[in-house]
Amino acid sequence: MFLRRFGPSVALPAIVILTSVAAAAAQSDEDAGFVPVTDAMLEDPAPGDWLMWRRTQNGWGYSPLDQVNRDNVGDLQLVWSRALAPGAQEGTPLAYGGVLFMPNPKDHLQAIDAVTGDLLWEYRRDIPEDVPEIMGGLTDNNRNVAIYGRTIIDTGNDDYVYALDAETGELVWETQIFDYRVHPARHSSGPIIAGGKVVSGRSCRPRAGPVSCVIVAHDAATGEELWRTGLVPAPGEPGDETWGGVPYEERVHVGSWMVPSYDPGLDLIYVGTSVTSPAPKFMLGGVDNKHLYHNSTLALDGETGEIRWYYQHLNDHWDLDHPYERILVDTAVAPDVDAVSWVNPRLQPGDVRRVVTGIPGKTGVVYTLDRETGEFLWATPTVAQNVISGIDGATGAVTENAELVFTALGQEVLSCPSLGGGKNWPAGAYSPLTNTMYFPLQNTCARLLSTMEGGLTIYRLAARSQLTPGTDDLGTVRAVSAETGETAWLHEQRAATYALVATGGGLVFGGDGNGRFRAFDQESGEVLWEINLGSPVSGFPITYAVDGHQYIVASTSTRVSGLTPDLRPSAGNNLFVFALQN
Amino acid sequence: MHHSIPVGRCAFLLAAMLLLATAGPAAAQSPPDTEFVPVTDAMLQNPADGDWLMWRRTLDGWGYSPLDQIDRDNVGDLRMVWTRALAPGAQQGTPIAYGGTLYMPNPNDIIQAIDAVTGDLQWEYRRDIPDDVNDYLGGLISVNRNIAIWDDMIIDTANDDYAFALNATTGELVWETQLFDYTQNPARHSAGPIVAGGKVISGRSCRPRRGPEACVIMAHDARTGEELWRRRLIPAPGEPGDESWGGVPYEERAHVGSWMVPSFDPELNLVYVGTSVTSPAPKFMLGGVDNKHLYHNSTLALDADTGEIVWYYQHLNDSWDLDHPFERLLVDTAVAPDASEVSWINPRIQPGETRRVVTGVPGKTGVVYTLDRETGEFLWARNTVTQNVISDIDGATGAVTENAELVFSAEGQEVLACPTWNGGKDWEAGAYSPLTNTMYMPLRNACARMLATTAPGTSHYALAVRNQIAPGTDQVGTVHAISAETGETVWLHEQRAATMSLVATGGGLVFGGDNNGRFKAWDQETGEVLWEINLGSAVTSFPISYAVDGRQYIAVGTGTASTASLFGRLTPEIRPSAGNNLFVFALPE
Repeated sequence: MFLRRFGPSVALPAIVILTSVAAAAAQSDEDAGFVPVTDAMLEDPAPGDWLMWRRTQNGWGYSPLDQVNRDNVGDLQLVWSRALAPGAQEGTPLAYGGVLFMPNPKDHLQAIDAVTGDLLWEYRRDIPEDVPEIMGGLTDNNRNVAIYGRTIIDTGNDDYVYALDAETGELVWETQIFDYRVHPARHSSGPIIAGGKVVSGRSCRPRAGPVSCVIVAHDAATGEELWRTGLVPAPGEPGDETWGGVPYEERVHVGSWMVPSYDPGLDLIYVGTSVTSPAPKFMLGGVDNKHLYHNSTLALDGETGEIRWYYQHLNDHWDLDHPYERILVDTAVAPDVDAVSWVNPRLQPGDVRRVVTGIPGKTGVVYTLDRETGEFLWATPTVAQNVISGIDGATGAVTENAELVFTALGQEVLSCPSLGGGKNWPAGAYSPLTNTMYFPLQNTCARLLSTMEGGLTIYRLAARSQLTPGTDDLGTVRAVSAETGETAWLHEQRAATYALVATGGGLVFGGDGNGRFRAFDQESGEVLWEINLGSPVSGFPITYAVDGHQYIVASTSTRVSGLTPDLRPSAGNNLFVFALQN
Repeated sequence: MHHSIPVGRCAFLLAAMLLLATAGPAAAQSPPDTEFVPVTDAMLQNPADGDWLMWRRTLDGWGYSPLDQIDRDNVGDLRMVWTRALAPGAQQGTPIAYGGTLYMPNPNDIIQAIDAVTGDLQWEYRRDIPDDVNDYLGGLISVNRNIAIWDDMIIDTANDDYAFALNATTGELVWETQLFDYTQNPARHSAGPIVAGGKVISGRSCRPRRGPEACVIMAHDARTGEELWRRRLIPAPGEPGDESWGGVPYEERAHVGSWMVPSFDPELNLVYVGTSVTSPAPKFMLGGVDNKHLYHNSTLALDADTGEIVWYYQHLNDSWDLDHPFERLLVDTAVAPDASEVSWINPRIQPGETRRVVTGVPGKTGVVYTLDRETGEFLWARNTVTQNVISDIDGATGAVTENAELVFSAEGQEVLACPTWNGGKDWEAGAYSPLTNTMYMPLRNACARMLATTAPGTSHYALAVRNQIAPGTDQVGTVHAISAETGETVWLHEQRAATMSLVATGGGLVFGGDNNGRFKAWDQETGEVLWEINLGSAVTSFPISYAVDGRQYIAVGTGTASTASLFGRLTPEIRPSAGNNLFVFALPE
């Protein structure tokens, strides 16, 4: 029986705390207590650990744990739950040494006993009251933190990067990145650690020009800044010519608001970027200009931050950001021409490449590039999209749908997907067992109006989102082969789908906007287990192990989709941990 | 290609195919509105095993469900089948379970109907409470502990001082009746009504600022909302009991309310209610310590047809804010108090006697009182947790003698009173199991340094209070299992975290939670903990059990409550979260 572990009933909470702390310490090291996290551990983590946003630097969102598998997942059950702090909740816990390190909304971090759910410490960063106003809202989100040495490392919305003692929650160091009143940058996501460096991106608010549109590296031990690379070229820099003479101060908002990936072998950091402000390019130097490096993948040198290569996914008039997870895979590259729209003609049968793949942007298009050179290999749409009309396989050059490219104020188009995606921040996952990527995608379109007024003023767009014509199903999970680009299976449902995790048990776990959290068979897409958690499953699920016992974590929050008013989930910020019975 | 149906009623969906298969039966299970089976008085008096139709399930206040699918042998396999967040505020709700639906009172007079199998919302009613109500009622207005069901209506009282009825299938308002103008006679409705013989019987906390007029038990016609009677709990000049106030002017006789939920004996046609302390609490400020200030801290038996007081029993002449409004348990039992454990016994009790009693722990002192529920005759009483406010009870008369050393006689006097003004016992309910003829009570080991003061900023009780754990222990929480027949302690569970409401089941189990988020199942006979889970936040709601299509469920909610935060301060190393959530458990199918 699972609860026998708790021992006698009298004085139970105190006993549980004492025993579980001891167990956690023993797991790490018999006597030395907390075992510092090294670069080697980040590059090759223990199976039971979850040490960064997507667990590994290659962005897979995959855990090799296989205790929970296709045969027994139906027996999965809740082992503990805990409410999280209020606010928009999209957190990813880290799991290490028997402790979950959970980013709560509003730069509020908690360490929680991973076996019992008891709080060990919490840190509430003192964010100045004027930050939400200066950032233009959305300052609750705190999607991920990093761990290195003895510290938990995060970026805050006061535009600091800081490190906490992982055992006590006390501040170890903090470094100001910008004066948020002068160069406001929103940190909805946190950093990764790449070769001892804290590498972080951000959403640079338009009001302060391009200065805060940067990727920054800090020394993970001291917080000292090592480099910062601008995502908007200045006059005289490469790419300056792509802005059509727009003054430097007006080249704004090309941020990188999700989390980088890292290839330690190549020492390359992969980041993705967002749209400009405004989005319609006729307002910003002309529609024929590329406005680098918006909506691109950039490969940065880990040592210097230098841009080694870039690839632009979309010259974007519709707020279709491309900052999402970059998946680094070594794979045969054999795109199936029946399933894949755009293929590099130079690909040879039997080619094996080191690729960066996945769905980098809201369009839902899968792109596979050579991650050493940036060479375009293949791309293909998933959900309905009409903004890209063609990609030149030989060069990777993207042609936008001219009918949808705004040329004047007051123009209205039906573009697909909507600016909510397609894809958005809820991450997909990759399983090496199937060499397949799994993506949560939404069937949406939007009536977009080019206007100086309306809700999305920084983009100069007014939007009315809708379900994609011809379907009632908003949510999808799509399994796409990393080798062939074929859709292995497609799950469609009414509720929007959220972030996924793949496991060594042959499963993909993920939740939806109606509170359902479920396990899919990686191979068939069959739903093998499901539970109603009440509120939208907005956090990133993970899995971890303590003392040989595998746990699955999901978390919920407040998100209402206006596209499915018939679904009426609750609005609770909660962490849920599942396991098989002992 | 799997095209799932978005919403099914099956909690564990093994496959998309299974989902399709269950959609058919689910539709049949949830009949159209016209097929809602009206709830009758006969059903309230003898509910189907799978239903939970009022606060403590039955009119006798037991908090007992006969469901036995989950039992001592298999409770270890219990698992969550769905959960749902509740509205913000102080959450102490009790769901009603009927016809495959849970009707859940959320904080701030929000009521939700939720599919009892899937957790999906069916309807939601948000009563429009005026913004200034909180000013008039003095806080704590988000609490909404229970609602009632009758015919095809969900019935509640609200903090705008209305009683109202909603259509149970749509959530639409059917009737509403003003009880008071809350700006004139503010009354707080933290607990809701029961329905007794077609009447909505409700109590309330009457705020001191406007005198005794809101200190009433009321009956409304459940069909129409028409008021049938109101029984004041404070006598006016010329009424019986007037003499017990020592000449205090009528307008200053304030705050003797009944802020929890009545019990009802349909055979005797008697409604049992319990009352609170006066304001101020120290009686030297209120006509003198030798006056009884009826009917404070009493059990009253009211004629259900007229509201007439048939009998009363006063548990404590209370100088310490030790209210006595909690659940009254109505049991027919042998009465054989064991003198080795029971301090105060009526010498007239004969061996082998069986009585219709009202028993339980009616007040914050933690003292168990057993009275004849037809006559009010005192039968026996005993201590449980440490208490020092009662020094004696005369077994022959039931007359209570307070500890003279603790009875305030002047402002500035400070005493160590046990329990504290949050109990001992508080609103968290115990349960009674007919399987064991035993009561299970969540009680706390807590005392308080109390200062009699009217200094500015002091509460209307004229007390300043500093709580502490009872001397000699570091265990705040307890569950006492006490025989209804002998008064003996069958078992005692003690733990660091404060314990909260309980439910007993036909499977031989008692379920209950604590301030540290743990929800547990005890063996009714031994007190052994057979199952436990951490729900994160204090388990502040009243757990229930229900069944749909032959499957037994256990439902419980978490949240915040003043008692939870108060006891949390006594155990600062315990750091639960603060989420309002409803959790539902069952055995695997």
